[in-house]
Amino acid sequence: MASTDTYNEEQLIEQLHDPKLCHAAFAKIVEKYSQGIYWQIRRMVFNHDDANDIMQNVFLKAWSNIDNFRGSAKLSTWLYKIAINESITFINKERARNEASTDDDSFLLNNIEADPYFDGDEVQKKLQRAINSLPEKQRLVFNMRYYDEMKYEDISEILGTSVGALKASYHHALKKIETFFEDCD
Amino acid sequence: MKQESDILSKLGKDAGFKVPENYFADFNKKLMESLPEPNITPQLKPSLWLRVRPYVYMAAMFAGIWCTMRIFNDLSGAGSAKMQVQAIVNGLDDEKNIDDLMIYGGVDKYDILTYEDSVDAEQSGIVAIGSDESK
Repeated sequence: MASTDTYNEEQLIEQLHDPKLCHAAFAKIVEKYSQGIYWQIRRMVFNHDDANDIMQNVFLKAWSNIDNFRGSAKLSTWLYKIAINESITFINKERARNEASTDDDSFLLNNIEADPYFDGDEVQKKLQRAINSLPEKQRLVFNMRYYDEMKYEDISEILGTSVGALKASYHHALKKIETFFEDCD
Repeated sequence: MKQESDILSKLGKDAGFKVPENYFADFNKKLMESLPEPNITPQLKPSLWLRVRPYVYMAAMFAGIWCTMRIFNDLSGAGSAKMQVQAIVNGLDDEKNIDDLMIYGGVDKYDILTYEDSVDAEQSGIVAIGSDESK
């Protein structure tokens, strides 16, 4: 099964570089990866409308840079990298707009309250606050590992960090979330 | 895994985020409709000239080296040939060398006399033509 996936991806990459087939090939890619990319962005920025705008930018950027993608990395890795960069750029802009310090992303949580597409209870909100209190890198690692159940090797490729460092980050993130809940109780 | 603590195991993986109905299908459709023209540079096949160009350059380089060596050889060869003629002329002027030729070169007196007669005949001919002209 893995070999079939690899074969399909290779075929898709070839088709992406063919002006006649690239549109159809890109449609397949969007269909395959849009959900994963969306949830990755949504967990970073919390608000649906923001996540929607960022995801649109991600795919437009990918489309305009197809010529530069030669298949040296996996398509998913390439798209996740773009998504994370776009999300971080958005957060930095919002941070500047809200005149917040670099380690304070609490303004993002205001988005949750205003978002009609969030129906979590108090405990879920508390978990989001706990995740939001983590440093940016730990937050990314926690979301990818805990929610998306991604392999450390794949996270390592996307974030450009060693597997050992990622395991340590995840461990620290779990400890901090536990401590956050203990402090609130 | 012990680390995935009681808190997380109670919460599960549902973060409480939702999306509008048919969101992903609608998003994919809208996105594909809004895409601009593809920015793909078609990969051109290299022309015949582009393919043979390295070999032509290499051949030209070797031809250049060969010509340079040939010219250098010719120049140095011409100089040595002049020197060789001069050495022969000088050698023939020296009677000792004539003796050496007779002893070691298999040249006998008859050959030398024949040679000298032919030279004299030529010289007298030149003089005669010259004297006729002066008249």
